[in-house]
Amino acid sequence: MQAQSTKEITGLLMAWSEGDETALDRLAPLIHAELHRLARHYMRQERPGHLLQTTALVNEAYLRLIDWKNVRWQNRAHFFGVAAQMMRRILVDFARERQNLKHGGGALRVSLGEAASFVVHRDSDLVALDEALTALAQVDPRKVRVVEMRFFAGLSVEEVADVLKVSKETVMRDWRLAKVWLLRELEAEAAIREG
Amino acid sequence: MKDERWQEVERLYHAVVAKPAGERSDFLAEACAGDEELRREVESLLAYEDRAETFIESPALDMAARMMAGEHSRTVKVGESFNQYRIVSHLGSGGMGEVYLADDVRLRRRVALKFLPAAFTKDKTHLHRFEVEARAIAAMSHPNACTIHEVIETEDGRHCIVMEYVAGMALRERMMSGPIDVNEALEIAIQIASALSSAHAAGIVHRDIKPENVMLRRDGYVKVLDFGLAKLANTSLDLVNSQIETRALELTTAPGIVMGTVAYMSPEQARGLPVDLRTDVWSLGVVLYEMVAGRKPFAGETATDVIVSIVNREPEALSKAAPEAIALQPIVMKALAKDPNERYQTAEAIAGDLKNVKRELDLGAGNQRKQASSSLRTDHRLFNSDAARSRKIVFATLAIIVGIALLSAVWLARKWGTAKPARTSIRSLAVLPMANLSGDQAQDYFADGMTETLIAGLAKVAALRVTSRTSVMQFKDSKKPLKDIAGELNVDAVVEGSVQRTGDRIRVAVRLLEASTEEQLWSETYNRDLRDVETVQNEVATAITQAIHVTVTPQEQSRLTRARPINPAAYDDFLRGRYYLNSQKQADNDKAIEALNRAVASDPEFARGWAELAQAYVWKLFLFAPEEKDLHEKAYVAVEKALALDPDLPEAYLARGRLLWTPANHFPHDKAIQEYRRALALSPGLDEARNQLALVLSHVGLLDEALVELDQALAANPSNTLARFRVGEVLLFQGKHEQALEALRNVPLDANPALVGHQIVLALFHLSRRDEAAATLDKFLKDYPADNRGLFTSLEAILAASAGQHAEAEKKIQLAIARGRGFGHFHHTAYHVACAYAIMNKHEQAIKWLESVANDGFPCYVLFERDHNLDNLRHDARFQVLLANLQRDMEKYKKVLES
Repeated sequence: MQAQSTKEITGLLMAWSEGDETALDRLAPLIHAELHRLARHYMRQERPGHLLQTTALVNEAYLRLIDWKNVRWQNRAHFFGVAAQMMRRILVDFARERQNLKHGGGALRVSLGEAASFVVHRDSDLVALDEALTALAQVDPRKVRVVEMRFFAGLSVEEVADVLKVSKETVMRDWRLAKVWLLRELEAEAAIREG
Repeated sequence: MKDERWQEVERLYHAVVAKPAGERSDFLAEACAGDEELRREVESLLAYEDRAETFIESPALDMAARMMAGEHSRTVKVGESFNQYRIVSHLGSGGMGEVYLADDVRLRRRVALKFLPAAFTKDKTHLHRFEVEARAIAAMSHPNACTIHEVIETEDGRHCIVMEYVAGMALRERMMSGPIDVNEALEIAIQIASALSSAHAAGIVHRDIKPENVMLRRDGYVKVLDFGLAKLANTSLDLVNSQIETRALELTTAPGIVMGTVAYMSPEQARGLPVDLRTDVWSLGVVLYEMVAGRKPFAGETATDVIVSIVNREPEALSKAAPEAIALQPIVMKALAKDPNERYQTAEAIAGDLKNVKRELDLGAGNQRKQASSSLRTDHRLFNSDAARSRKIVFATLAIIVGIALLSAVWLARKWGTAKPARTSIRSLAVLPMANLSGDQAQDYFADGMTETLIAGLAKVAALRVTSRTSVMQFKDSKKPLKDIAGELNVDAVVEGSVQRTGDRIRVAVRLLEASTEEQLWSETYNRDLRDVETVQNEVATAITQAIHVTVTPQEQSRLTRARPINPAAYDDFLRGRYYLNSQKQADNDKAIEALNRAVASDPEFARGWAELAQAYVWKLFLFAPEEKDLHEKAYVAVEKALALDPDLPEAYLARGRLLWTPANHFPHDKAIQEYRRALALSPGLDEARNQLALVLSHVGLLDEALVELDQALAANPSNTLARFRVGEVLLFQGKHEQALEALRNVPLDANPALVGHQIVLALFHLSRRDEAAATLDKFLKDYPADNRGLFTSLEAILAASAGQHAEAEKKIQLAIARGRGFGHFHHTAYHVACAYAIMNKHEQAIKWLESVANDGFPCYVLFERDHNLDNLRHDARFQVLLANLQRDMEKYKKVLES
């Protein structure tokens, strides 16, 4: 059953990359299912500190969605690019919906402020991050792809390097600069919103 | 931005971050060569370098899942405040919620806030049940259980547990560095068992004992976390069964990952059967096994395998898994019996066996050290035979002790014969003021301090009634015969003695006398270094409890024997401080504060010094300087310092209760009750804590309970006049006006004229002695014309209303409000205002005022229900609703008291 859904996802990804927008609607429930599965785990999980276990579970979830080892694509870079963008679209849409749901439509934006000192952790932050990424694309599109693959598709530095055909060091440098750039952008945005 | 420009920024950025922090700025300035815009651009990015470290490092899917799981979790920001709690940092996250470190800005302490996932709290019945349990846990007050301070609901409906912040290491982390030495493992297990037995006694089963839930503090204290939480999780996520199913399911898709919780589940828990306290015994067994063996007794590739192993298999024997821990084998076996009926039936039982093994090991270790070094195997055998030998010694010693005890009993029985009633036991005693033999009157405080400490020490033993300091001090230098003093104090025995201090040496002579016969039951002389003064005091207290064969619980014993070396200068100041503190005059109170501040300055770790300093501030605040705002803060700081150093200081809890229960805090009755109960659990003889507890109880309508406390307070200290007054007040609330009047008339007026006086007037009024009431009231108003609380004026309103002079009554009401409003403790005046309106049949105003009285700290259901002054309201639906609410609140407080 697992293999089937992975295959299904791959097919949908292909369809989407070829311009079939409806594929996204069919992809979303599969990703949501993974999300729920992970969320259920977190709801039961006892205390923090099970980093290994958590990482394994998250990797597991990604593998089910984007089985990069078993997918034979002629253009792997293209596949991951598509997969990462798809994840971005779906997760950001998901966050946006929840955000609207919570605040009855009037999207309440909250400053990242100190919050950004550990992780993005609000739905609104995810939406803001999406916007910041769009801004970054104007300056340096490759960095956006690195972020998409690392953050949205959960790929390791090695995997990203492999896909982009650059050195690991380059990925690391891109990742590092992208993060400070995004943080600066997010804070500037937040400051504007708060007047 | 142009591409080339961006590339330049990028190149420069990476060049700068490669430099050490100190060189960056110069390097950047030089590299930019005057291009200010470039420099600013790079610098503004560098500013985020630190924060970027953790930013978006965990994948988006993970993050979104966490959001879903927590719904509201991790939506808390550093600096954000909830009630009096300000978030300092994020401590961790898990299924049980996000945990944050926070500052309690009101109580000046660090706390941990655990925000419960919405999934756990959406079912109101479960939530309510949890809150009840949390209260029970909060009241439990066991040094090895992480204290829950309260459960709060934030404005946006999230629930959050406010609990003690335990700085230290989780047992899980400790286990990461390999198996734990048998002695340390025993110490940890004993403390866990101790927390469990206290929780079980309170009807709380933990259900989730595992190394993640056990914190090891640096000072050796073990703290068990998350009592009661597992139940909340289970109930709201349906049955345990379904959990395991999902787990098993998940694990088939993710092999190799072993769920934490499953490994510690008891067979009945794993099978989804009902569990009781014995499930905790099992889990403790698993933890103990894992500590010494370095691996879990029941393991498996998947959760299903683990469960099968728990239900069906026997663990590998400790003799194989951890040969050096062979002594634990029988305990572990018994704890891990599949059938709960074959297990230890209580945590106390396993604690007992653990302690026995520890004692034997300690003895064995002592003997072992004497042996020349030999191979592990020989050592092992040696050690066993030593343990066996030491057991024999113990038995032999016991036999001798029993023999002596029997002989003495026979001898005593003969001696007393039938001529007089045989006094078989001593259950009350008084420590008479120790004589100061230093030849210097200025050293009186030292002898007095010794007396007090002895009283305080003995008062910790619940089975013994010890006369309070105030009561015995009147016999200082008394020439009365001992028998008479004992008679006046109504005690079975007295302790008397002397203290001689020469420089840094002390000589203490003490004896214990049976009161009626003046028979000496025990005596001892101690010559010690002043630094060991606490040890001497503990030894005396322990010797006395042994001499009179009173039951001392293990907890009491541990508190009795806790001592640390004392800095003589600090101790000196401490005793001086206490000496002045007790006089309760303003000048002396100042001296006390000064001396105690010196004491904690020269020994900042002197817990009792901090506790007494807190007391001194509290008295100052209540007696002399209520308007001095920073006193409150100083007192809190002292309380928290004291408790951080020693969580077993009854005086600190008493002080904290008094600091909490104020108008400014809206009289948090439940918290105050908990503080006083904690103080009394640690020192049953602390009469002021009983008096304060009774004060709170009398405000929430638990009047019978208040009287019980007051009786005990007065038994411990017959000179506690405020307790005496309160008896009269409570009787009045109960509608027993005759008895109330009699009790009130017996209180010395100077205790607090306004308090005593106004209740006398009310009692007379209720007894229809209106003229007498009016005359008494006039006299009080003449003597105390300011009437700063408006209490007397509000009584005038009642008298006018009942005389049908409505205009006069209204005038007095307004005057009383004007006089009393600025005064924090206004609810009694407000109650009289309500009564006056009720008498005038003005329902609207009467009920409005009663509601404000109830909301403002005086929800005294029984009074509202019985007071004839409110009779006109009885058929009013609004009043009936109010009464129903008050009754419900009262039941709630009763639960707090009983939990």
